[in-house]
Amino acid sequence: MSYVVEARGIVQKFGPITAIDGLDLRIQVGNIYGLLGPNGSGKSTFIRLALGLLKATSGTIAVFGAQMPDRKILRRIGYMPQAGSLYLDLTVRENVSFFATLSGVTGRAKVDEALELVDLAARRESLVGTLSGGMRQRVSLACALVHHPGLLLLDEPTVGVDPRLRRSFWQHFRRLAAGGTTIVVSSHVMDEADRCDKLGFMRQGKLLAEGTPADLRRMTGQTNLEEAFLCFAEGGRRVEGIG
Amino acid sequence: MSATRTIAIAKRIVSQFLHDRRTIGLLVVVPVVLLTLLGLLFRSDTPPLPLAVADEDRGATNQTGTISLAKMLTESLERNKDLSIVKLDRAALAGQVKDGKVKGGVVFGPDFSRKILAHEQPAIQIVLEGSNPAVSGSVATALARALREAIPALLTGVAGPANPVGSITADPFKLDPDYIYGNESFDQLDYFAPVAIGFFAFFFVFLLSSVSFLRERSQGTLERLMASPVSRAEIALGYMLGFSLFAIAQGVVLLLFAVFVIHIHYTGSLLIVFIVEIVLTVGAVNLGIFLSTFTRNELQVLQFIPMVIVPQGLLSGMFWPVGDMPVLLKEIAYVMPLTYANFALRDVMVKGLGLAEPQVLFDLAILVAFATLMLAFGALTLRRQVA
Ligand SMILES: Nc1ncnc2c1ncn2[C@@H]1O[C@H](COP(=O)(O)OP(=O)(O)OP(=O)(O)O)[C@@H](O)[C@H]1O
Ligand SMILES: [Mg+2]
Repeated sequence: MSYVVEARGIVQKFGPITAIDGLDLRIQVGNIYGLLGPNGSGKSTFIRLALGLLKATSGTIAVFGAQMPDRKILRRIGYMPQAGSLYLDLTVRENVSFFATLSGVTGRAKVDEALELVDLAARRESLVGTLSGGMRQRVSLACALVHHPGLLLLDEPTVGVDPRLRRSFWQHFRRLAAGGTTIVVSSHVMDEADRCDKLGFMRQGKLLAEGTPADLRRMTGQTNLEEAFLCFAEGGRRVEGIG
Repeated sequence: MSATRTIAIAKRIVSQFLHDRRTIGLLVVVPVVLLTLLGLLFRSDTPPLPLAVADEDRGATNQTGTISLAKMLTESLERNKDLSIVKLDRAALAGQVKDGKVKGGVVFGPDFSRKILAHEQPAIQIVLEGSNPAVSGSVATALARALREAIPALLTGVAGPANPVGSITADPFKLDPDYIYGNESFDQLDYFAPVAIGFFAFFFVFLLSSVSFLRERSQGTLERLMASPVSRAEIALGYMLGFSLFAIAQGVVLLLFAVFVIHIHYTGSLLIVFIVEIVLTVGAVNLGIFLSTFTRNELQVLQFIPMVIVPQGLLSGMFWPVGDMPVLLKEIAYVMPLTYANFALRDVMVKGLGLAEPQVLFDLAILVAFATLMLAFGALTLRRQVA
């Protein structure tokens, strides 16, 4: 079995706060892996560790077999940060093509393709600062996808995106995964979680439970994921011993 | 190191500016307006300065008869179109100076002529109101200049057509020579403009680059940059390149404006002046990136103005020569990049020195070293900025 992301015994402290507390997590090639957990449970921190943006207090994290941080590997990763992270004073096209160039993609074809995908081709010359919240989120996704990375790290990618586009995003994620792209998505939206191959439930920096959506429902004895989520979040007493 | 990525960063900075016309205005229009104001300040025709003269000179006798040198000086002051002279006695003069009816007064003592002919260097008493040092200073300067200009007339007057010149010394009376400013062709603006251009460039480019970089961090784009294959050195270099383009544009506009519109005089090579300005602004860009590490918002960037910019404006020799400053201030001045830029700019523009001169090369080398050091610091502190 080959793993795209492999974290062992990760601890990440920010002063007095322990954001990640002894995390072991492995993600398989071609999987869509959903990171769930309440606010502050360490989802974003885990993603930033996988990118090498943070250096873990202890433990190791490898991506594509290389210990992070490793700048060479970054070309193969697409990252969509949780908030903004766009140049508001540049146009949609300028933003996407700038990040494309940094990842080694030149020429317009892939930029145009990414803009089609997020349905913003018509707004390509608009300044990002003049777009609606959901549109900005779509530009941000386009920046993450444009260089066709083997691993996508998406931190709450569909916040503020309308249902029609959200569905088309997930159809695209599926296509990418079928083509061998590994996708890590953090989310609070349970019908998205249901579309993942595997879910990891985090709380207070620990992986509390892991499995397919069906597994998690079974563990908690709930018929819907929302209830399962609440079970875990409320202390997970009913699922003691799992994960 | 990838040239493509470095250029991508530079290109992005340029695009951001092109979308932001107002900031381009700040970079070019504002310094042009300020230079114009400076020009008006230093060069405008001011109305004649009202002065009083009290002549108590009893005169002296030489070969040509009895002459009053004070009277001759007074006549030549009256001919000076920068001054408007009233003749009073000593008491009235003091009163009028005090009341502000005249800006200053000159008193020639009873033995003035006699002492000059005896080579005794009599003092000319200058009466100033004195509550505003700046006004006093400029009045004293104007008076000193006028008196100094009157000396040739005095010499011919004393010598007379039949007598050899030199029966009085070339320095017949005591006046502080510090008051006398410059030579005929260079005025204060010529002395001030080159360094003002350097200062504006440094100020505005520093401000813009540190704010841009701060935004990179606060908007989260730096996080995305660091998650891409771009290296810290590429980011810092890309920034430097992008901003340098604007620094160059600003430098060209300001220099052309100074030379062709406000007509500052210069003797040296404009190209060297330009090179100095560019190296200085590149240093300012890198300093901006470096210092923005220590700021969390735009307000904190503004706090660097009194910390970094104002001291350089005051101490780098723009207003007072570095050599004349107290030791402590001199030492502070010598760690400021603007000081070296000012040395180089004046050496080139005012004295006409070229790159072959060791002192100009030295100043330029210091500026290059500063820019390089700041580039390294900026790149090194970049990682700190994300976490
Ligand atoms: N740079 C930082 N400095 C200090 N504390 C941090 C930093 N980044 C994260 N933390 C802390 O680490 C903990 C985990 O944060 P993280 O952003 O990973 O949570 P999350 O699971 O992504 O939450 P959310 O669902 O709200 O996005 C929080 O307590 C947060 O305050
Ligand atoms: Mg988060």
